[in-house]
Amino acid sequence: MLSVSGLTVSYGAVLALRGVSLEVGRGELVALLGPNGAGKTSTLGALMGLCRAGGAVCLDGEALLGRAPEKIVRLGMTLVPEGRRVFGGLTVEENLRLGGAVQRDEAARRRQYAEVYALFPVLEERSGQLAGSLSGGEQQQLAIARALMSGPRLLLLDEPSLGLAPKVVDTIFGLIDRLRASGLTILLVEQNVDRSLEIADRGYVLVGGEIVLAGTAGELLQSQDVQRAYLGLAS
Amino acid sequence: MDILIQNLINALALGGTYALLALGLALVFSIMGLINLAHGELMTIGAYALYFMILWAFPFWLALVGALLCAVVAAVLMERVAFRPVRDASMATMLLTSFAVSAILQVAYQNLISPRPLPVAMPSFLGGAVEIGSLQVGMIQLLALGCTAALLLLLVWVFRYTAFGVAMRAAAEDFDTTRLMGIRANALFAGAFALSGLLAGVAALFWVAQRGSVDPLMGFLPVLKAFIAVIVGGLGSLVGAVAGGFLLGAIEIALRALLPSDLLPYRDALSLLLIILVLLVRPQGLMGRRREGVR
Repeated sequence: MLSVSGLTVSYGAVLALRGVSLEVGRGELVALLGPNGAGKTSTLGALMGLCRAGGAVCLDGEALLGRAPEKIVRLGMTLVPEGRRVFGGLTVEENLRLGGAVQRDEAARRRQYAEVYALFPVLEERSGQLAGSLSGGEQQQLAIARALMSGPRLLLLDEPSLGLAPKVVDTIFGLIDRLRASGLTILLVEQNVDRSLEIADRGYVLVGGEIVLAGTAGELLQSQDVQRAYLGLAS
Repeated sequence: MDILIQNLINALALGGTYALLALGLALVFSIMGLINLAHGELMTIGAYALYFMILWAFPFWLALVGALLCAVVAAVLMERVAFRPVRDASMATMLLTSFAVSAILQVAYQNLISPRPLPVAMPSFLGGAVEIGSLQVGMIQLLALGCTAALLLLLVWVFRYTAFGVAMRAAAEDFDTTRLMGIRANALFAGAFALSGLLAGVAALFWVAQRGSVDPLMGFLPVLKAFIAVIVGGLGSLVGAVAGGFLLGAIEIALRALLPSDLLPYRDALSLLLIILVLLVRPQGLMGRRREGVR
C-alpha cells in the first residue's frame, strides 16, 4: 500500500534521513522503531508533506512527495502527530469535526462520528469539554479519533505512548490493536520497542537516519542486536 | 449620571472600532505569524472607495457595501501578491514585506489620488444626535456601537458554529496540525485576510464618519492603537485582542473626560503609561496564553 524508497530529509547541512526505504502492506501493522533523534518523526513529516524530502513515496501507486499535507490527507493517509497536538481551546466535538473536514458527505460523516464514539466512549461523554482540559490519555485518544474522522486507509501514529502512564499506554496499545483488527493499515512509530512488537506484524529499526534492521515482529524481538544496541538506548 | 452614560457610549464606540481592527490584526498574526503593518492601508482604501462612490452619486448604502467589498478584495489581493510568496520566510522578512506594502500604498494614494485630505460627503442624518430620555447621543456613536456589537455577535456565531470559523480558531492555535486535518493552507490564509479586510473596512466607515475626510495616512493612527490593543490583549489571542481594544477605548475616553484641560495634550502619553502598567502586571497580556503541550 505504502512504498517508500531512498527517502532523504535534511535540515540545513544536517542530514536527518539518509535514504530510508520501507513498505507497508494492506492490513499490516508495521512498527518503525528507534531511539530519540533517529529520524522517526522526520520520516513521518516527509511522508505527510510537512517537510521537504528527496526520494520516492507511493501510496497505492500515487506519488506523494511534493504534495501538500492537506492533499495527502484527502488521498487517504492521516497522521496522529507526536505530542498529540489536539486543539486545546476547542471542544472535543470541534476537534473531531475538524478531523472530518474532508468528508463532504453528511451521512458518511455521521457514520464516522458513530464509529469513533463507539471506539472511544470517553470522548462522547466529554464531547462538550475543551480538549485542553482532558487528561493525557484522553487527549491521545482524541488525537487518534480525530485522525480517524477523515476515514483514512493508512494511519500514521507518532509515538502514541509518549508521556503517558503505563496503564494508559496499555489502553492506547489495546486500541491500536483493535484498529488493526478492524482492517486498518497502520504505521506505528515508537520508542517503546517491546510493546510495539507485541502488536506489530513487522518492524524496522531506524538509527541515525538509516534503517539498520528489518524483519517480522518475532524476529526483531529475538534479535540480539535490537535487544542490546537499541532497546538499551530506547528504554 | 447622564455624562457618565454619555462617556460610556463614547468609550464603547471608540473601543469597538479599535477592537475590530485589533481582531483583524490578531487573526492574521496567529494564523500566519505576520504582523501586518499594512493593515491601516486597508482602512484607507475602504475609505477612498466610499469617497469615490459618494462622489459618483451612487446611493449611500451601495457606497457602504462597495467600501467594504473593496477592503476585502484589497486584503485578499495583498495576501496573494505580497505575503504568500514570503510565508515560509522568517518573521522579520514578513514584517519588512508588510512595511513595504504599507509604504507603497501610501505613496500610491498620495500620487494617484491626492496628498491632501478629501472631504467625504456623508449624509446629513449622520451628523445629528438622538435623544434618549434626557440623554443626547451622537448618531455616529450610536451606529458604531450597534454595528460593532452586531458584528462581534455575528463573529462569535461564525467562530463557534461554522466550519470556516472552527477551522480559523484551530489554525490560530496550531497551523500545521490544521493542515493535517485536510484543510487547505491557502484557503486559511485567504479566509483570514478576507475577514481582517472586512473588519478594517467597517472600522474605516466609522472613522471616516467621525472625521468627515480621508487622506493617504488615515490608517496609521487607528491601526497603531489597534496594535497596542493586540499587545495588551495578549498577542495571539483573538478574544484578548477584542478586550484590549475596548480597554484602550475606555482608557482614552476616561482620560479625555477626567483630565484637567491643561493636561489634555498629554492624554495619549498617559494612556500609553497605563498600558505599560497593565503589561508590567501581566507581561503576556490580558489573555495571552502560555505555550502548552509538547511540541
